[in-house]
Amino acid sequence: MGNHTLNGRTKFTSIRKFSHSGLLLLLLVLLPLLVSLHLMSNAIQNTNELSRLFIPLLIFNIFGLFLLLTLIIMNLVKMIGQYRRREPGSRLTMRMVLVFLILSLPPVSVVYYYSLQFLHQGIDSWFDVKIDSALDDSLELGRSSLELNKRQFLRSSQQLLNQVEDSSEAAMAIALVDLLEQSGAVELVLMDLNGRVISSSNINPEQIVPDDTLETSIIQLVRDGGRVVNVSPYGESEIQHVIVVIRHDILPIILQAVYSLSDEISQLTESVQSAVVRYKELAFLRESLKFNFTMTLLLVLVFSVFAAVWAAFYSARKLVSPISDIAAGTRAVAAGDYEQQLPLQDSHDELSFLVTSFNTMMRRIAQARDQAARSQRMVEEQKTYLETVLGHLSSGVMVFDQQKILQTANRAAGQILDINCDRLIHRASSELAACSEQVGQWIDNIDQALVEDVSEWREEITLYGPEGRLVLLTRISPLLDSLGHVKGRVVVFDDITRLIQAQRNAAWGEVARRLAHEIKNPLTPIQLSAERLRHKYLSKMPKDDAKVLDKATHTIVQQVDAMKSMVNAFSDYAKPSKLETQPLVFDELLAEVISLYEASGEAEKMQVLLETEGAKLEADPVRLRQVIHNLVKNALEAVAETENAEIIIRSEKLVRPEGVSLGLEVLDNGPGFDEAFLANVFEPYVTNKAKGTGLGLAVVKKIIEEHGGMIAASNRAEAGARLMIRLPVVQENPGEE
Amino acid sequence: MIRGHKGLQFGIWVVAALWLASAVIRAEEFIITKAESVLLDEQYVINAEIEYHFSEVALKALENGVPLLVDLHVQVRRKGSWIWEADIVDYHFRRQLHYLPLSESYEVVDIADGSKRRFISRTIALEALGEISELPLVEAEKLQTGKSYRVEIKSELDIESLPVPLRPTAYMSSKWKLASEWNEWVITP
Repeated sequence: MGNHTLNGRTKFTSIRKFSHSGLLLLLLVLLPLLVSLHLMSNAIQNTNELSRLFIPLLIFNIFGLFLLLTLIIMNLVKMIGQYRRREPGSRLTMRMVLVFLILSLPPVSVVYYYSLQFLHQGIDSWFDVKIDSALDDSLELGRSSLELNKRQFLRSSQQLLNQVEDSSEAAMAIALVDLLEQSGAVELVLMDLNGRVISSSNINPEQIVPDDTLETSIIQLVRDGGRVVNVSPYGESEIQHVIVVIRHDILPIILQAVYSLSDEISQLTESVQSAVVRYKELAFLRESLKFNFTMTLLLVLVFSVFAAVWAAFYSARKLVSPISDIAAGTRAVAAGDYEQQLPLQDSHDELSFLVTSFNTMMRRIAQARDQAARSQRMVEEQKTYLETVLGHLSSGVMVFDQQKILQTANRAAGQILDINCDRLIHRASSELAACSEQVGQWIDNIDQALVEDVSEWREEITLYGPEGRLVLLTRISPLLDSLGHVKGRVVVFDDITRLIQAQRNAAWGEVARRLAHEIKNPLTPIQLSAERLRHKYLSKMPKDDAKVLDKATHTIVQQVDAMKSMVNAFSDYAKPSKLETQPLVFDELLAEVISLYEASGEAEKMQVLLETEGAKLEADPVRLRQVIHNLVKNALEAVAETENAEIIIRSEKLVRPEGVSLGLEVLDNGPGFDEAFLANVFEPYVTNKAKGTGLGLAVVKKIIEEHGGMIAASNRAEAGARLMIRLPVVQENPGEE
Repeated sequence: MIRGHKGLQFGIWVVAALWLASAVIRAEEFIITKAESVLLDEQYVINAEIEYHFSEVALKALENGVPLLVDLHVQVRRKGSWIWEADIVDYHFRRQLHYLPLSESYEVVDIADGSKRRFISRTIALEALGEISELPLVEAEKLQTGKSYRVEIKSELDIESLPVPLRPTAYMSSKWKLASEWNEWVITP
């Protein structure tokens, strides 16, 4: 969970960082691009300096837009990937991007379209057919005016040249001065047919040599009979002049006459020409202008769209980020991680409030969980403590709910009832009753008390089973919840069999001591007194009386001896015996004792099965022989009057979960025990035999218990009695068991 | 055999196409047909002839009043000079050609001295535009005797001098990227 939390926090932090870096990148790309577009727009219009930067700006803009497009495609691919992976917030992001696009694209497109239309129409409106026609007309007018002047000057020049009759250079020089004065020309130049100047005359006396020499092509043209009339600036002045170049009809001379146009005509024609040139230039540049503005607008449009798309991505991510965080947070909560804390937003809007509330909720859940965990830990500790206490209790404790379903049982309960309680948890009491006869009897006794509405129920229940009598002191109390409602019953029970036995033994011991003290002590004086009476008066008394005395005293002495024997026997039983134990193989001991009956032929009635596999006991052989003798003798006496008498003596090794023990069974087919005595068959003086002290089985039981074993008596189902002994064996090699 | 014949035919077509393409390219470029430097009165001058083959769009612009300015870039460098050595001569000689609708003539203006010449036909005007006569190159005393100097000239249409609205188109169109190859020769005083 710790790692998960760490990863979650790292993820949230990275989203936050991405958000900041995205904004920075946005500014870094968009701002220069915007400035560049602005500069490009200016460059297209009229700024000479910026126009030089047009191509770099164009390249920069295209590169910037391409970069923007790449970023958008990356974002798009990422978004589609997130959408396919169904990551939290991806659908919302996609929806928001689409909404942004739908909202931004149409207006931008509409603005673009109408701007373009407006621009084209605006540019086209500069040029009017009428203006175009008027300018052409004015140009034509100018040309006509010039043509008129040109024809006039040509005619004048022709007349001037016709006046030249003498071909000598001197005559031509003199004539030229006169002609200049007549014609009003600025300059007259006479040349030969090769263009060599023969003579020239200029209204400016300082101008001796003509300004410009004629071009070869013009000389060639004129030499071949052509006439050239040009309008152009002449000399150093910018004023328009009419230059006429013609050849003499007869003489091999060429005249170049330069006439000055009037200032008004010159200015007007120049003005018309510059206006026409400007207008035609503008008309020619119209398409270029449209192209430039269209391209700029297109770039701006693309920029706007890209910026809008990116802004859509950025805004969507920014908006969706807290929602994604919350979604991731809720997933983490669903996965059981309550340590998630979402990053707080810079803004103070509803989403920020939501994130804050989520964090608060998470903190409270975490606190509640910790509290619950602490409580659970305490409950576990309490439970462990209780289980430990219950486990170490010698009393059996069981808890049943209202439906008599076993909820809890401690180890002692299982030991006392000889059942596996773990297997019976959450089982009904009726299922418990089916475990064994004894448990069935116990459940029958307490069954009613488990549902009775009594505050305390207490009973001493005696159970009879194959292993003897079991006395359980059982107490049942209601189990209350915090509201005082009964939610079940607690059954506490103790095995008081041994306690009762001990009490009885103690009582018998006391009886024995008292017998010894109160009865045995007077017996000796009685016996001595009887013997003294006999000794003193038997010889002195008459024969008949002496006979009576003899019989009486004899009876007294005999009965006193009998009483002494009885008291001694009882005293022996009552006082604790001193065992002299040694390891012995039980089967060998058993076989040895049985062999003593072979001489009398009583062994024929016995079927001896030695199956302990040589198990050893730590026991007093003398006392154990006494046990076997008593049991065998009892059995022989029981079958004395039975036809087909049969006694089965079987020893076996019993391997059980609680340990290995040795079992001895003595079965006969005699009349069996009287059911009335069966419960107390091991009590002293409980016997159905005419002879005997009544201590046989009591002594057997005492010896067996002194050896740490147990004895049980029961009647066989077919007929006869069954006596069963369990004794602990010596573990020679515990590893093998 | 047939395949070989077809291959030959294809080759001829390719060569013809390339020749045509080169002809088209040549039709829209400047060619320096003659370039030399002559020592005249202790000064080297350039005599050159340049054929200016303007593109249709450039000529159309000229007819519509857009002046065309051609630039002759002249450089003189010591032969085998290091790249960081300054040029001995590096200047631009510019001439402008524009159309005069009133007189339906063409005027060639030398930008440096402002001198103008008018021509009634465009062909003659273009010839005059490309005729470089005694253009001062470098004074002889600036060159070391016995050393060789490389003279390089290149003529191109100056897009920067075109009207502003036309420049973006001119920058992006090959029809306006009109220039000659560098023409070079060596002078050894």
